[in-house]
Amino acid sequence: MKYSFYSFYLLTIVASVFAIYTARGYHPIASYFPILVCSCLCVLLSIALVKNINDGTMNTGSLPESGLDLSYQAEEKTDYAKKQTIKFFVWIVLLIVASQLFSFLYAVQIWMLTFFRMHGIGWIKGITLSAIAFFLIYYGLYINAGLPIHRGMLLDFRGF
Amino acid sequence: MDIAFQALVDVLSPASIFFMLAGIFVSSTFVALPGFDTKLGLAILIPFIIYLEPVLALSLMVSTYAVSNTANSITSILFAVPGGSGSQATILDGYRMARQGKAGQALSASFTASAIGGIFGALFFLVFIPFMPSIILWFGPVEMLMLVFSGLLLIGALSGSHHYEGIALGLIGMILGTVGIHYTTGQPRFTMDNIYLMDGFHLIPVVMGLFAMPELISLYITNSTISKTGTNNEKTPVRDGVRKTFQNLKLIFQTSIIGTWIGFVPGLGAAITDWVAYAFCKSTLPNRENIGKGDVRGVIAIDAATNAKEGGALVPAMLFGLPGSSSVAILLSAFSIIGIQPGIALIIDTPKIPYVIFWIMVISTIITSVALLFMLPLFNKITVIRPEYLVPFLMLMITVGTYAVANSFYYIWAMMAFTVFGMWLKLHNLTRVPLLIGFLLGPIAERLLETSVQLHGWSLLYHPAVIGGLCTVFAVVLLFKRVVHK
Repeated sequence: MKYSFYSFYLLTIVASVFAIYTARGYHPIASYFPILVCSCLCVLLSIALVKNINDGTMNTGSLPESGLDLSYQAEEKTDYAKKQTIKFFVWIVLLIVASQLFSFLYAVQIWMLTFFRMHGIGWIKGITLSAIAFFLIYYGLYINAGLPIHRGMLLDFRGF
Repeated sequence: MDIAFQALVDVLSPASIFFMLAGIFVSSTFVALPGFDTKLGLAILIPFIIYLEPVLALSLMVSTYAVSNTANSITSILFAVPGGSGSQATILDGYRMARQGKAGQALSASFTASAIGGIFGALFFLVFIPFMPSIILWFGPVEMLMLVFSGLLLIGALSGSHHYEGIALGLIGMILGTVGIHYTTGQPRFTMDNIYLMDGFHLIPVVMGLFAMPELISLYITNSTISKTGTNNEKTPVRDGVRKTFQNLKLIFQTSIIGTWIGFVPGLGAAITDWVAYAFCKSTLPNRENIGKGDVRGVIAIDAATNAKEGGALVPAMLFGLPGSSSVAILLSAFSIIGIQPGIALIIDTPKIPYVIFWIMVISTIITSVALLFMLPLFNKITVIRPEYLVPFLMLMITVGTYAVANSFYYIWAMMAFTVFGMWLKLHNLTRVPLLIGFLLGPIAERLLETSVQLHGWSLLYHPAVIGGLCTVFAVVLLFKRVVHK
């Protein structure tokens, strides 16, 4: 499966030019390094772009260095995988938003139980595992480490 | 010799062993949790040492510090969630091994290599501490800049045949590292007037987003256990791991030298040790194409280097009071509380102290590795838990761990942004490693460049270290190209 990197090159070059323009307004000492790095980035990607256009082939194939296993890669590019990825993002965003609104201590129990139920796990197991997660973060992080995980925008849990 | 023996007797007293075990427990617990590290453990322990005798206080603090890189491989190997700053690169081979049903072997090799690396670092600390002052004083900002510059060139080596994209990602990482308030002028850079961006991006959300979350998404998509083949691949995981570690003693020795070297150069950034060790494997070992795909050598080399680093980092700390990392800085403040002042006088006036530190490092490293090896069957069982049970717990661990960085949801949203970018890179088969190395080395390179320019002006360009460094780098690049083309 081939992927085009033209958009990556062009987007990065435009962003670098914008960053150089922004950095010009900074204090001279603070501007040297970003300008230097962004200039290098622009030059490098321009060369890569021209080279790829001349070669007629865009960047393809896997990088063994990235530690990726191609069998998972193939699985990750199907329509099912895309749907699952979106589902994953929905779940994690739900956890974050719920925690932000109601604090971790409330949100974790409700979110975990919902997650378990939606993934076919029974009520008893779901409630037990959610309770374990609640006690782990309550005693481990709230009581012992003193993290303010009781604070939410709408609710503020004050402990037992 | 008498002093060394006397120090050993002191360290082996029941009270000292008790405090060592306490330190090991605190350290292992904190580093196994994503978002937490030894810094917090050391800071929490400081109030307890005020009324302790120096040897007991050293047992508690030095053991906490010494074993900080042993247990942090557990979450890296099992869940691809880095436990601490020194265990990010362990994910590349360790997690692949876990997915191939070889988690036990990976963990066993990791613990054994950690023990050997830790002992190497302790020996380095003891043997070289009298010779180090002259070497460290030789290292000015220009020399360190050249070291960082050669580290940045590793980016090319890590990008395989895709040099352009790899180096570009490294440069993007460097730009991301400049976000926030400039440290000398106070100039906010690329913050878009956002108050949260003033502090820049923290390492934890970046690592979680680039590495941990994409792996978790893979686990969710494939809907299979971490180990795709169960634990059947391993009949004798402990023995296999230990055997493979001892078969690679030369590699351990090489990466331990790298680790101690990085550790003892103050300000070079202890977080890069694992990546430098990984790059060393990737560019020098035979059959290096397997590194990054579940090769046990990738785990062994990294864990030896990160544990050896601790001994190296203590040398400048004890001689000049120069902390190479925030953990060492806390350790130094603990030393001053118990009346140990770093300096050459420490070695001349109280020669027993370096020996006490040496023995604590050696004994605590061995105890930790042996204890973790005994717990291996328990860790192995985690790899066959169904993802629908594991994924929500890991999601929670990552989210709360990221929140714990500064008790702010901003860090979680930053992590989500990096997750999207990490996932994009992963789907397009681009390596995420250079981005992280650029992010880590960028701020260090900028600081050193500024200091070097202020000290030398334009004459920096023909400074002997720059000319020598550039020649070496040029030679290495040529050599690397030859090796790659072969």
